[in-house]
Amino acid sequence: MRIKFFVQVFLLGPLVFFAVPALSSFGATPRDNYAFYCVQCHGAEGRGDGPNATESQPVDPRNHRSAYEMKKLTDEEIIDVIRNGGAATSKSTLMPAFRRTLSDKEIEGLKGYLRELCKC
Amino acid sequence: MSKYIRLVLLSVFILTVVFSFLLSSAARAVESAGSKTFISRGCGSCHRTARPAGPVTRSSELAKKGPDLWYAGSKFREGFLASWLVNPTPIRPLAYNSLEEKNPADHPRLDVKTAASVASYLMDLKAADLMSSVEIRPGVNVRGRILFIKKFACYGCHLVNVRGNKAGGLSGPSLEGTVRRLNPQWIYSLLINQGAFTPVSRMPIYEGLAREAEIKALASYVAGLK
Ligand code: HEC
Ligand code: HEC
Ligand code: HEC
Repeated sequence: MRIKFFVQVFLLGPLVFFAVPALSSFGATPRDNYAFYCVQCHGAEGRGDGPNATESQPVDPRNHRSAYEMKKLTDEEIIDVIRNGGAATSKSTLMPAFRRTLSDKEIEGLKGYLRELCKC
Repeated sequence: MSKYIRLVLLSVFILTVVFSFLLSSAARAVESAGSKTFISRGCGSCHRTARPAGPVTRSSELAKKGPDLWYAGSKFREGFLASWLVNPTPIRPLAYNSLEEKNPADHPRLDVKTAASVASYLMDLKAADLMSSVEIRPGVNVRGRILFIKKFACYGCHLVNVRGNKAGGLSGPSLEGTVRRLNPQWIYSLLINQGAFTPVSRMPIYEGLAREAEIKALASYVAGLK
């Protein structure tokens, strides 16, 4: 019992202490993450009109304000497409995979944020 | 006779030592002129020339006014900086760290001689994380091209030159003409270990999404872009 406590405090404590701030996105809200990673394609308000949505691109980024479009996706599909990219839902690979960039928790948070944007 | 040869050898040795000393100190003088110019022209107000000691955060990186140069000697190809500093044509389509404004194309210019000395100073700034033992040959790489266009759609954020026309997104640096600009081994090192160079970046991490062989092919393709 006492040994277990010792292990938790003295070994795991510092591990958490050092590992957490190492993530540069530490403390970022879903809104912050959206602004940093998604706005460049999906636009400042999520309407699919970010600076990367140029005329030369073959596919427009999804309009995240469109309940009509976003209702087609289940929560699981939204999480899957953010984790694994457009290919995961048979869409364009222009939608990148973020599983190496964002934690599962952050992706879950973004799913909630997208549901707020589309009100759906 | 043998005494004579020894004397000749000795004097050749001494001359070589003196000569190489003179040469290297001359080179060092040019370098230090470059670093002095860098300071006196205020380049350091927008560019870091040393790796930040502490952890970087999103707010520290978004507050930067220009790209990091502390790994310039690993990133750029020999000769590129000396000519770019004379004629700094935009590399990033958008203003630095902005998703709205266009690149104002107002980077400070240097004359040919000053540019050469600043470039030689910057080319001495090497990064320990450069994977210099990996061979990346720039050029036509069919596999790399397919990965760049189809599997990862890197053009989503980067301009490339398609038969004379610009195509692609604007949030990343343009990849037109990387064949003259970027060191192939640095491109590989960046893709396999972004954290070593740009730990906070709008570019997603590809290490772990792409296999090592795919990253090599991508690097070789990108390194050859005209
Ligand atoms: C490089 C540009 C780019 C970035 C960055 C990007 N997206 Fe996308 N996204 C797209 C494109 C293009 C599509 C539309 C794909 C299609 O319709 O084939 C899309 C589609 C989507 C979809 C709909 C998928 C479907 O099956 O309908 C979701 C959800 C989504 N993106 C979320 C995000 C989130 C969240 C982020 C930020 C973490 C993000 N995207 C970042 C380009 C991007
Ligand atoms: C007001 C801020 C500012 C100052 C001062 C400044 N730069 Fe820059 N520098 C930038 C920005 C912004 C870019 C990106 C330009 C682009 O992408 O077209 C840049 C790009 C560069 C690059 C290319 C780096 C890369 O990764 O693409 C070099 C090299 C460089 N600057 C050197 C210098 C030197 C040398 C000086 C001093 C003579 C200087 N800069 C002064 C803002 C500045
Ligand atoms: C979501 C947008 C996005 C996607 C997709 C993307 N990049 Fe980037 N890339 C960036 C940004 C932004 C930078 C600038 C990084 C920084 O300074 O933090 C960058 C930087 C780079 C650089 C360094 C360029 C320079 O001059 O500094 C290379 C090389 C590069 N990317 C290659 C790729 C490759 C290869 C792919 C596909 C596997 C890719 N990128 C996909 C946004 C993207």
